[in-house]
Amino acid sequence: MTTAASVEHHEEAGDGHHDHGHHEHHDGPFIAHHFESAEQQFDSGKLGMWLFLVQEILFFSGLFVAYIIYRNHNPEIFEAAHVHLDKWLGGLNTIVLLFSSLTMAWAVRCAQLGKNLAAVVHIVITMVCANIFLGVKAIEYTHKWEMGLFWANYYTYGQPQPDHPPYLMYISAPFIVCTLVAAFLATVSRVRESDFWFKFFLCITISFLGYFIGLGIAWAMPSSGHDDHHGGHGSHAVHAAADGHEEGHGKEGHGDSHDESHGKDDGHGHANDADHAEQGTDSGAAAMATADEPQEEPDLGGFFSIYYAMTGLHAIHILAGIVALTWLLYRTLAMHFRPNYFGPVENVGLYWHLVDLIWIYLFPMMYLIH
Amino acid sequence: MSIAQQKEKLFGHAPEENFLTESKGWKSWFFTLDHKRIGIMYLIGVMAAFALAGIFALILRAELFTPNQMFLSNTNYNKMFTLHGAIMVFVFIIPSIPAALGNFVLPIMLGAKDVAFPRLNLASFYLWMLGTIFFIFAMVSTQLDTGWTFYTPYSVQTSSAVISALTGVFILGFSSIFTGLNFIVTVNTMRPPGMTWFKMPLLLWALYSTALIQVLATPVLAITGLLLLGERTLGLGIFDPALGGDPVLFQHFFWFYSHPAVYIMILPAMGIISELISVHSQKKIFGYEFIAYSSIAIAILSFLVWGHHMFTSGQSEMLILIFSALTFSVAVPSAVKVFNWVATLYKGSIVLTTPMCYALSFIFLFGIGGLTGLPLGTLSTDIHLHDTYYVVAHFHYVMVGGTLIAFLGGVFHWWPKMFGRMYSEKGGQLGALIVFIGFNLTFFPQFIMGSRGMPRRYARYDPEFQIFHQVSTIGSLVLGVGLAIAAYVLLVSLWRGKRATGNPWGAATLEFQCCSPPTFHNFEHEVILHDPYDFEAIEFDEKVDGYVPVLPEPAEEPAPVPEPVESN
Amino acid sequence: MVLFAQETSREGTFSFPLPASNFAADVDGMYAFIFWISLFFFVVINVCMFYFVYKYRRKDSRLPEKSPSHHMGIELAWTILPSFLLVYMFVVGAFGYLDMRTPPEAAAAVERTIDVKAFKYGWQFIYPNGDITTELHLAKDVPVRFRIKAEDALHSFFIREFRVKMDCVPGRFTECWVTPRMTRTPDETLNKDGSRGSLEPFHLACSEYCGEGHSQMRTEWKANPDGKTGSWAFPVYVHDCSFDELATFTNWKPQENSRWENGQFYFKAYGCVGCHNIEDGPQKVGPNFKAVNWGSNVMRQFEEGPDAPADDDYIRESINYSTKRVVKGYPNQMPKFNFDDEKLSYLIDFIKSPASDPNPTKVKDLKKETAKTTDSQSAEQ
Repeated sequence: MTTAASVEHHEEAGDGHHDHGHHEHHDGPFIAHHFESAEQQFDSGKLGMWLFLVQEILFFSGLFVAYIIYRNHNPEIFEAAHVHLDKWLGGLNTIVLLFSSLTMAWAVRCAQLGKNLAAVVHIVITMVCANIFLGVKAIEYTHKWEMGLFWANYYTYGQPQPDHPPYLMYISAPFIVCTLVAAFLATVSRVRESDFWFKFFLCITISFLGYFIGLGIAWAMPSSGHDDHHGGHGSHAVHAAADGHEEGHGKEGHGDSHDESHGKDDGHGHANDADHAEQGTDSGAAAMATADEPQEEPDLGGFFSIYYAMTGLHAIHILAGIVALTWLLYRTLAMHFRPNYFGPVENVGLYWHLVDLIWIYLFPMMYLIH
Repeated sequence: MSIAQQKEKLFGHAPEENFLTESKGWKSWFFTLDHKRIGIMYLIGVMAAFALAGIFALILRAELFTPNQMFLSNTNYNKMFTLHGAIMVFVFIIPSIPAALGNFVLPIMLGAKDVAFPRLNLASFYLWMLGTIFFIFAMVSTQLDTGWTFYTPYSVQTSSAVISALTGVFILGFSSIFTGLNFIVTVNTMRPPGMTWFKMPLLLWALYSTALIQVLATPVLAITGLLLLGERTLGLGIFDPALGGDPVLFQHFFWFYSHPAVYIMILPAMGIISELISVHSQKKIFGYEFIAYSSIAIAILSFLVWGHHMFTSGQSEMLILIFSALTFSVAVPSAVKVFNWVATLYKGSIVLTTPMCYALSFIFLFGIGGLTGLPLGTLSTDIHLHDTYYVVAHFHYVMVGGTLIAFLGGVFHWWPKMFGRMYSEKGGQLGALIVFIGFNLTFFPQFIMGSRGMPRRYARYDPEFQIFHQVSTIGSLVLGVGLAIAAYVLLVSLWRGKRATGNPWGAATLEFQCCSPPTFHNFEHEVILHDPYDFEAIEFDEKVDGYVPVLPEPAEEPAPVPEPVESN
Repeated sequence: MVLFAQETSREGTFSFPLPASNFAADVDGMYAFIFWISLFFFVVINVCMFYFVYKYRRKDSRLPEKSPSHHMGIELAWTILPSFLLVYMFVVGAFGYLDMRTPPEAAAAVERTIDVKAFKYGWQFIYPNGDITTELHLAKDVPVRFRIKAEDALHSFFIREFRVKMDCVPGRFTECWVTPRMTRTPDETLNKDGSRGSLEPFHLACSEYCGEGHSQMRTEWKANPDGKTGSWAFPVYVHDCSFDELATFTNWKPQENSRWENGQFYFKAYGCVGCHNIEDGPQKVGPNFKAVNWGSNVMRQFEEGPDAPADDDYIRESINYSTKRVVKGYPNQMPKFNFDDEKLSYLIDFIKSPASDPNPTKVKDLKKETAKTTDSQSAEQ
């Protein structure tokens, strides 16, 4: 393995650089000079990782506290806002992440048994899932931006939307570039007959394709698909639903009773049902026509500030996870892991489970509000 | 081989290479993974930051010599005190003892060859550098005028460089987290066999508790900083009342970190004092277990008292009562430590070396700092004293009179170990004395100003307070002179100092078993374990011309390397 | 120390200002209690320390004689015994605090509530009868409640003689209450010629950092010695502006005075004086109006955008749309106001000539005309 030396520089504890031969090690090439044994190194690495995870949890806990406080202060905003979130897409992402956790755990097991190639397969599946998640998220975000559902300062929902830039294109551009570059490098490696690099870049390409799979699935999902086809029309539908919902809670109503009942229904979880939304559009429009004063809907900017802060930060952690998995992929392909040395896989796995866990909390907190 | 020969063999010669000389060139420093070199780089860095922020302090004091404007406009005054506070807190005090001294001392004290993650250690140093660069960028662009607390909504409204300063804070936070993480893992997994938790030197207990706080509290600062950045750049509206946010929430978040941060500053200082008092009176520390447990107790309690910074902020009365009660509970472990230190002196064999002078002034000054915390924790009196110079004086007595003095004491204590040179004892003592006098002159009048109702962060003030301000300004000059003398003494020793032996003080902790300066691997021989405060386990050796561990009587066949000694 | 004692032969004790409120004595007493307890511990610790350092200084042998390094009894004692003192401090402090935060019924009544509005960088007090002042007017021995809010940034309402402090938080009300027990009458703080009198007036200060003018965000408070409540009952000496007679805010009615006088009133009432000097003195946050030349032929320079004439319309814009254009060299910190044209015309008259009334005609005579005149006409006086 010609690359072993450079690999060591990435490895936190695996240091051959300064080994002056002061102590003899017989545990393999990845034991740092200052550790007495492979166990000590493994224990240190694992404890370090756990501490890192603890600090990650505390990092997110700040946001969770902010969420709780804001929800306590403004429960009506949270009730009114969650209809804008597509719980089917959120649920899909939850399943994707849970599945990726499973494959990650599998990869750890494989590495532990020294089955590097099987580990590669599972790592690649994990990466594909991570990318699917991001793809779905991209659709969710851009769809909201198109409707003006921004954070507090830029929240323009309910106002006429000027021509918006192609948000989805902006978000997807880095992924497209990454996919193309990886595919190109895979081709080059193939031509140069570098088997190792070909495999590596092929895996990378496959994993990035996951992003486009995610885009496609989200696009094809009935709920979001409807909104996308109808564009601004769809957004009116949701808007009207939320509006009706407000009335249902006793704010001064200016629609008829039919309107109100619909509002209630929508508010309790069928906002994205196509038929409902269609009807909501009509009655909502009628309501707007009768009352020429501005919309009664509360300013949901506060909710979306927290939504974007939490899910955005989580998405950044997914990205970081993809980077870590890429590094792991490289080392696994290079056959570095063996039963007495698999700490890095284990630690990245722990990190991945944490990222997954955070989403498990985010999903009900954001999407399933009652 | 007789015992004398063995000693000669183990301690009698200075190895040809030490960690300072074993490799050369800037690369060997910039990419070093050696905890000692990283510690030295940290030491130089934090000292530079301290000098910078100290100069700001002198400028501030000079401006306050008269009630009306002399040479700083209101805005410039505000920027000056903000930069003084922010650089002192984030760039100097927090990394000073853990990252600079701790990095150097902790692994050797533990008998280890390095910290658990040397690369992470270097990364943490570079993060510190990067964070500092952001601060310097803020300083040379539009400065910062929010106060080091970044309270919203002012920090959202001001036109000064909040973004780069906050980015700096965020990065410095991760530097601190990584240092803490490293220390926890190192202490947990790399203790040599035989060193149980209760055979660790108290500095390690203190650093361990500090590291716990660093790992558990700093992430909250990071997310707070991130949200405030979002507030400024995007307008998230979580803290800004203009967008429906809650400025008091920011204060909760900020102090949830920043109160434990106070203990990140003072806990390791207490650890150092425990070492200094014991070594320089050659007496086993009194009540080892109480001191050890009190470190942990302080670390835990530090998370529960952040609200005492906000007694006037309009939070609910119930919360305020709870926070006040918890605040008093922190007083207990701190007092226990002070009592134990004084009891250690009883029937000791005390030498007034420079480190000891600093240790004694620590007890004096920290005593004042701690006791003046009582009226601040008592609710009815705090309402009057909150946000006045009383608070300023109180926390300077703790941060400067406590942490800085202990830091200096630590630097003087381990200086021979770091650079292998002895400094002029007379010069060091003189410096300590002038620092002590200057410090009291500077900050004692501020207590009186404060209780008379002079609010803090005032660029202009009522002529009534002028005399106090003038004494304070003169005192700050004296303090500056004292610190300059201390720095001079240390620097001169590098060229003129006589060579230090491995153990110049007769200390029983492990870092004084290796030569001065240590070699790359710290120990040239297996460490000889004994109680860290058992001064009978060391003796003066004429041949070695220094203190060496008492070696066990050789068995029939002289062992080349002595077995670890199990002592009481 | 002697030096301090001489120089601070001021009112109050050495370390505390005068106790002018119902809780001040309790607070000072509590402080004294803690002080003496602390002093006791401090002296014991340090006497022991210095005595030990002297007594047990190293003489011949390095190793000291054997002495115990652990004594459970002593250690438990000094851990537990001081705790009782701490509990006592907490309890007394907590009760004192609850007193401060729980207004009695007398103070909680609507007619005893004064709205305190803190802004960059000044104060406004709105009394139950609608009066507005920039100085706080209270009555001796009458409990009063403050409902506090901040316009822009965090401030803190601090009256040292009362030992009262409460943060002013934008976006929410905070409150506190007090019964003044002492006062300063205008006779004591102000001579007939308008100069400072023999005693310092009592001050109210901002104690939470709020920006550039933080240290100058101060005003006076006064209490009517007769116990009459509210600003309307108490003649106020407005010493730092040149009212011919010592007018009371109570009797002040816009239409009875000249435009200039009305402007002067609003200028003070809305706290403009907090940031703009109208006489020679230290530079405040905004421009000093005595030093500014006005008129359509004088050009103003701005941080951004082209220069513009400093005419009346410009003054109107810079009051009601203060953030639109910012004069070069000054921070963009002025709050926006929403004055009607009448108030604006008064203010403009005053701002243009802050030193004296250029046209001492009473408004009454001109009232009809004023309503019609444009700003530019009234400017050329």
